[in-house]
Parts: sequence; structure tokens; C-alpha cells
Amino acid sequence: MKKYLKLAAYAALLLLLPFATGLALGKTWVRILDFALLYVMLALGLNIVVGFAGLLDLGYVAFFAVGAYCYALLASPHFGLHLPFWMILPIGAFAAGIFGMLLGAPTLRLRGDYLAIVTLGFGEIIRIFLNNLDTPYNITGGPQGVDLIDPIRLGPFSLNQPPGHAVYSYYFLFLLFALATAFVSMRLQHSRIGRAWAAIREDEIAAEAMGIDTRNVKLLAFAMGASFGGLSGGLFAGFEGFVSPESFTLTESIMILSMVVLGGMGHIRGVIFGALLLSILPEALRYVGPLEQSLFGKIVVDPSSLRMLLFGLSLILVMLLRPAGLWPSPARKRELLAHGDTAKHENTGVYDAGR
Amino acid sequence: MAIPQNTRTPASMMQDAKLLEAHDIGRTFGGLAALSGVSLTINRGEIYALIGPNGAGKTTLFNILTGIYKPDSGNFRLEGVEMAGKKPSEMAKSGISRTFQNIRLFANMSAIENVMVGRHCRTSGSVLGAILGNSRTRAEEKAIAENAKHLLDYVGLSKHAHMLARNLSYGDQRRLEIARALATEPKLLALDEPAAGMNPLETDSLKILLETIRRDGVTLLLIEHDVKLVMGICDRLAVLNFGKKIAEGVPSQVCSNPLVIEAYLGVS
Amino acid sequence: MDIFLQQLINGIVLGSIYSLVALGYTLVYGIMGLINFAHGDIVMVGAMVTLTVARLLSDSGLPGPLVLGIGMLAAIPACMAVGYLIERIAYRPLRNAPRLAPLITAIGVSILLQNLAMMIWGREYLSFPQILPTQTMAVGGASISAIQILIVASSTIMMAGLSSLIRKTRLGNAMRATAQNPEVATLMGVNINAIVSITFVLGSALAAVAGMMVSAYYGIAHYDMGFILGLKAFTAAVLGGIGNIEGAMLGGLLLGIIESMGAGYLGTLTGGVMGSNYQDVFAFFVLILVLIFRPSGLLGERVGERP
Ligand SMILES: Nc1ncnc2c1ncn2[C@@H]1O[C@H](COP(=O)(O)OP(=O)(O)O)[C@@H](O)[C@H]1O
Ligand SMILES: [Mg+2]
Repeated sequence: MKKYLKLAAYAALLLLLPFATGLALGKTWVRILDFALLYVMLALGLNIVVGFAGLLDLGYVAFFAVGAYCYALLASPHFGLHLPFWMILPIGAFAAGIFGMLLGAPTLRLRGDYLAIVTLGFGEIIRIFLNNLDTPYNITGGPQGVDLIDPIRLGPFSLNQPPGHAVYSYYFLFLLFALATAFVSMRLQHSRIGRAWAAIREDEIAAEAMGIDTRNVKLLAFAMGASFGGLSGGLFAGFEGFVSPESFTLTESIMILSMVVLGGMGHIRGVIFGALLLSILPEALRYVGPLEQSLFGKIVVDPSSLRMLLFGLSLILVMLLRPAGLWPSPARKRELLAHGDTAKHENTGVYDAGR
Repeated sequence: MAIPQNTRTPASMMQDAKLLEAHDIGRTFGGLAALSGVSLTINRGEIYALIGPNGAGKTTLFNILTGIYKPDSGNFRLEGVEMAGKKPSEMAKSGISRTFQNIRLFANMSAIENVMVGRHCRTSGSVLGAILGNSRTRAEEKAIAENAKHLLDYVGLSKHAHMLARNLSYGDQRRLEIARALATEPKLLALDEPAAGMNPLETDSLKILLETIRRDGVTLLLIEHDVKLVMGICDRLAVLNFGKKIAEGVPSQVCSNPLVIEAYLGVS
Repeated sequence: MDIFLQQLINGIVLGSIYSLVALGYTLVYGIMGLINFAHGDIVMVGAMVTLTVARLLSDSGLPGPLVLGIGMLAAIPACMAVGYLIERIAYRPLRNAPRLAPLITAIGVSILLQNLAMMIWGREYLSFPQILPTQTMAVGGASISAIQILIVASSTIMMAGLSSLIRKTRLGNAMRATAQNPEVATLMGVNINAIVSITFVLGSALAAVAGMMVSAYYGIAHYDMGFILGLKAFTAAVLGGIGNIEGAMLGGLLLGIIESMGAGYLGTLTGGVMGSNYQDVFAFFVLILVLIFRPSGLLGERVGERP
């Protein structure tokens, strides 16, 4: 009974949140909420790769880009295609999944930090191609990107109608997707596949010796994580109506990784919390400008750099105070309390294990 | 109590008593011949021991039999099927499972999860099944958990099912590794120094466990330093020294072999 | 003009800079197994400090090389201090923490440094005063400038110095011991904390020199210049085999040459489809290819697995 009450309370909170926010802080903040939900999806997707399977991916935003461009190219005047979103989203997720495997295949033998740089390079490669594939044929629109993208449409209703309320309708759409993503993550974590991921994260050699085809299982992690990214990319494109390579920089990948690690790697609730926090904190820090104004009567330091400075500072502080993240899974907390050889243990890869 | 998942034909009903035949296995590491020309045959249902001084190449042979290293020369067959060159996961699927000399459990997973991972290669739940949670997947999950519980019980760890592997005592960790290996339904279970670091009491109960496993139809390949344990338990054994097999036979034969005496006394 | 020779020279110059920065990554990685994400930003600090000094002294009538020298004298200690502080504050407390925790603090430090720099030096591109002679020397159809010679010479000297420091001195011994096995090194009486601090400080000094070179060579400095440079240098370190000193030098040189050749020939090779704007793709592509065939980089040891 108590459980249902709690559930009902959560549901009410999530349903009323955008309206309360809209009333109290204005529509800009509802839009920030929308983005926060997109980030939740992205962080959960990356969490599959980094948190579940223990593969450090620094180029995750590439999959977000693949999904976004899929949507942009298939539903805009750019090629004159206007497919419905329920067709494009799966296409985008699928395409991103394929890219995930393409990235995964050559990197399977690499241990942690080599993997990090290759994924990072891959992210940059995708972005550079997006930036330059406007010649000799205009495929991606180059640095200008693609605009006039169709809004997401449910039957005859466009989510952009009535004008000015889009942020609310997208909130509910994104909420639905974010919840679904969390649900799928949870199911995966407690499944045969999820255990196999955890096993390769813990000890790849032992996992392989116990009959887990580590190659396939890793590829699966890449593909699953990537398709989550592709899905959110599609939603992003429909929401923004415009995509360009600028939205898919390494900084963005790093941001998503920070969400995962800061929240509590591998712990779904923690990751959601990390995503919400890091997508809202920088926006909240925008108020440092006005605050400075009121405190000192003038702008002493550039508010935008002060804002990022505070952001960097909070990353450092949080990690120093809570190295396992703000909200680690219970097991992970115990592990950290047990202390000692954790760091070494995590470093275990094919080529340096057992030393 | 029998190992739950095994539905094997008793050894006597098989036409071929040979489970594993290794022929002329060799492996070098940067010029050092860790193994050379090692041949041996392990019969179904026996406990076969491998002894020898440190650095003799015992673990290297294990790593070859479980696919972690590729042999430079030679080959080996399991039930007549050529195995050399297969990946470790394929070895496990074909029925060779192992424990490690320096324990390699999934340290931050609970004991029961460790064993459940061992069921991976005998189950087939897919991503889609996991997401949908259909009845087949749920049934399989349930079977995996039950099987794992059974195996923990079998090795005497059911009390600690939900402890993290890293927090188990040393002896319990070794037992958990055995349970995890058994979960893959091996035909040949290879144990690398299972009694290392155990006290005499733990060693005694390990001996009973090994005999139970054998009785339940699993063939055992055992590396062990504790000579008393080895001689008391194995049917046949081979002695390695400097990567070569210097003796093979039943315990009493091997004990009196002058080469063996020299290898042991000469090195220590 | 001989394009091949010219691109080769440009590549070697660029590669020397990459090598110096890559050394910083590799030193820290070798000792601590940590990717010091903020290393590129230390290069930026070095560039900014040299540039500031050069601007102050540009009308003083002092000869250009002397001005650069004074700039270095300011930049090296500044960068050393920054490196030391970063290690003490952001990395040392996390030595036993999960591996990704220091990666996040490193990212935090990088953001912090960039924005501090933006507050101090502004968000515009700053131009480096013209203090070095600009005339060039002709060598077999290509041309070399004074700054190019200076860059290659001084980075060669620094790398040789570092090599012998690590190979021949007690300190170097202690560093190598720590890299191999920190616990054993402690038992042998090595003060790990001191070694780690020294490693950071050394890497930062190299970064300061690299910062001076970049800003003087390209004539500009910017608060986020360290990011892409750091990325390239890190790539170079991985290419050579991260943790390996010679690997960093080789990786840096190779990457410089590859990029420069890529910029020179990619257009012709692909019939104009891919121009020099694909230069970075080319670099990463080579990296991925190398890692596929040599998963530990060119000179990285293939550590044998011993289960
Ligand atoms: N991965 C490896 N790289 C280099 N040498 C190895 C490796 N594995 C084993 N060796 C060497 O092979 C020899 C046999 O080792 P091992 O099989 O572990 O001996 P045992 O298990 O009988 O004590 C030893 O000299 C050891 O140093
Ligand atoms: Mg051994």
C-alpha cells in the first residue's frame, strides 16, 4: 500500500513539475527540464558501456549525432524526405547501434585507456565528417547543419502546436522515453547479459574462461549503449528543429561521462541523478551574473567563465568528497569501504591483468 | 547430492575411456621453453594430478588446455575433437572449465552472482527477452538462480550466498571458484592449486569435495603442491620439470621414480 | 618548391612540439596510470605567460631570443607550480579511488584552468609579438625559419636530457621503480609521493617549453588552445605506446609528420574530395590502425598475461 502511495506521489510530481516550473521560473526552465531528460537518456546509454561493461568511452556523443542526423536528413526539406518520427527513431537507433559495433569491433583487444583514446578519436572523426560532408555532394549541410526539421508528430498533432507550448508536450514525450530507458537499463542489469557485462568489467580473463564470449558481449554493450544515444539524438533533432556539428563536440561526450561517474557509475538511480544535476547546475549558475551585479553593483568577472569555473570546481569537489559518485550502488559503496586495491582491480584488462 | 544439471551417461557405458589426449604440447616465452613435448592422456572419471617444482610449466599447460595461450606445437583432443587454437569461451562450452592459481573471482559481485555467471554458456537469454521479461526468460532466470543456489550448497557456501566474493575467506573463495567452474557443466574440471593457502582443516574438507565431484561424474585435473593431498586422492599423476614430463603413473610408481626424487630434492 | 621536403620539415617541427607535450602525458601515465587531462591546459598556461612577458619586453630593445629566454624563465616555474598544485589537490587524495574518479577531477581542473585563463587573458586570440627574425633559409627547395630550428633543437636537447635523467640518475631509477611496482618501490625506500610530485613538475616544465614554442611559432595564444593540442599529444603518446618515453618522442614525431603530409597530399590523393580539413581524421585513423595491429602502441611492451 505504502509503495503505491509513494509511486502515486512520484507520478504526480513528474506530471506537475513542468507546470510548476513554468509558473515559477518561466518557459526557459521547462526547456532546461526537457534537455535534462534527454541527458538522462544519454547518461543511461553511456552507463551501459561504462558502468555495466566497464568500457571507457570518450566519444559517446557520436551516436547522439548519428541519431540526430538520421532524423534531420529523413524529415526535412534537405533531401525533401518527410518520414514519420516513429519510423525514423528506430532507424536512427539502429544506425547508431551499427556505428557502435563499427567502433567496437576494432577496439575489442584494447585495454582501458587505449580504448578511451580510440573512442575519443572516433567521436572526432564523426564530427569532422559531419562538418565537411557538404562537398562534393551536400549530404550533411556542413558547418551550417540542417534546419527546418519536421517537429515530432503524433498522428495529426504536431508537438509544436499550439505554438509556445512545445516545451510542455516535449517534456511528456521525453519523460516517457526516459522512463522507458531506465526500465530497459534495469531489466538489462539484472539479466544474463547484464551479469556477463559485470563479469567482463570485473575480470575479463575469468569471464572468458567461464564461457562468456567477451567479444560478442562487449559488442553488444557498445551497440546497446549506442542505440540509446541514437534514440535521444532523434528526439533532440525533432525538438530543436535544427542540427549542426557544433552540438556534438568532445566537450559534450565528457559532460555525459561526468554525469555517469559523478552520479554513481553502474547505479541507475545515481546516473539519473547525475544527469539531472549536471544538466541543471550549469543553467542555475547562469544566475551568477545577476548575483554579482547585485552584490558588487557591477560585473567584476565575466559571468560565463565564472559559471564554468564554478562548474569545474564542483566536479573536483564532488569527486574528492565522494569518489564513488554522489549516489553509488550499495555494492559499490561497500567496495570502496573495503578500500585498498580497488584502483588496481579496475585497471585489469587483458594485457595487464594478473600482475 | 549430485551435481544438479548433470545428466551424464556413466563412464562405464562410454565406448571410449579417454577423455582428453594431449600430444607433444610445446610453448616458449621469449626463448624460454615453458613446455616442450608434453603428451598425456586423461581417462574419464579419474582424478589426474600434475605436480612439479615451481616454474615447471604446470600452469602454462592449464592455460593451453583452457585456450588462454595457444600452443606453439602439438595438439589436444577432448572426446576425440581437436581443440588446440580454440578461444577460452569455446573451451568452456566444449566442457573444459578451470579455477585459477591466484584466485580470479568477480570480486565485487556476490557469491551467488559469481556462480550465476558460470551458467552463461549453458543458457540463452537474449537482450530482447531480458527487456520484455517473457515467461521463457523468467523461467530461465529462475533456473539459473536455483542452479547456482544448489551449487553453493554443494560446495558448502549457501550461508554466504549474498556476500561479495572479495569479502569471503580465502578457503571460501577457492570453493566459490570451484562452484563457478562447475556451473559451466564441465566434463573436465581443471583446478590450479586449489589447496594453496588453506589450513589443514580446510584441506581435508576440500579433499572430500573433490572426491564428491569425481563421484558425480566429473573428471578432475589437479595441480597441487600438497603431496599428501595429491597422493591420497589422485588415480594417476604426471610430474613436470623444466617443461618436460619426467614421469607418469599411479602414485606409488611415481613416488619411487629416481628422476622425480631428484627433481624435487635437486631443486629445493 | 619541394612540397615533400617542406611538409617533412613542417611535420618534424610540429612533431617536436607534440613530442614534448606527449612526454608529459607519458611520464604521468607511466607512474600513476592516470590520463592527466589537464596537461594540455598547462601548455596553455606556459604559452600565455611567455606571451605576456614577450609583450611587456617587446619594446625594451632586448634581442628577441633573450626575451624568449626571460619568458621561459617565467613560464617554467609558473607551470611547475600549477602542475604541482593540480597533483596535490586533485589527484593525490584519489589514489585509491575508483579509476574514473581522477579522470573526472582532471576534467574539472581542465575546465577550471581554461576559465581562469579566460578571466585573466580574455576570450580573444592574443597575438605574439614579432621578436624573432623572420627570414628563412633555403634547404634543397624548401625553407626553414629560425624559430623552426630553435624548436627542433631545443626539444631534441630537452628530450635527450630527460632520457638520460631517467636512465642514468638515482631519481630516474626511483621513477622507473615506481612505474614498475609502487608497492615494491616503497619497500625499497622510494618516497612515492615525492616521485609523483617530481614527475608532475617535470612534465609541466616540458609543457611550459612546448607552450612557448607553439605561441611563438603560430604567433597566437588562446585560452582553449591547450585542448586540441593536448588531444593530439595524447594521441601521439598512445601511438608510441603510453608510458614509454621513447614511444612518446617517436609518436609525437610520427604524428606531426603524418598530419603535415596529410595536409599536403590528402587533396591530391583523394582527387580533391578530401582536403586538409580532414587532417585530424587522418591522424586518428592512423592511430586506430596502429592500435589494431599493435594494441599497446608502437613501442609499448606487450605485457604477457599470466593468469
Ligand atoms: N606470460 C608469460 N610470460 C613469460 N613467461 C611466462 C609466462 N607464463 C609463464 N611463464 C614462464 O614459464 C615458466 C613456467 O611457468 P608456470 O607454468 O607458471 O609454472 P608452474 O605453474 O609450474 O609453477 C616459468 O618460467 C614462467 O616464468
Ligand atoms: Mg603455477
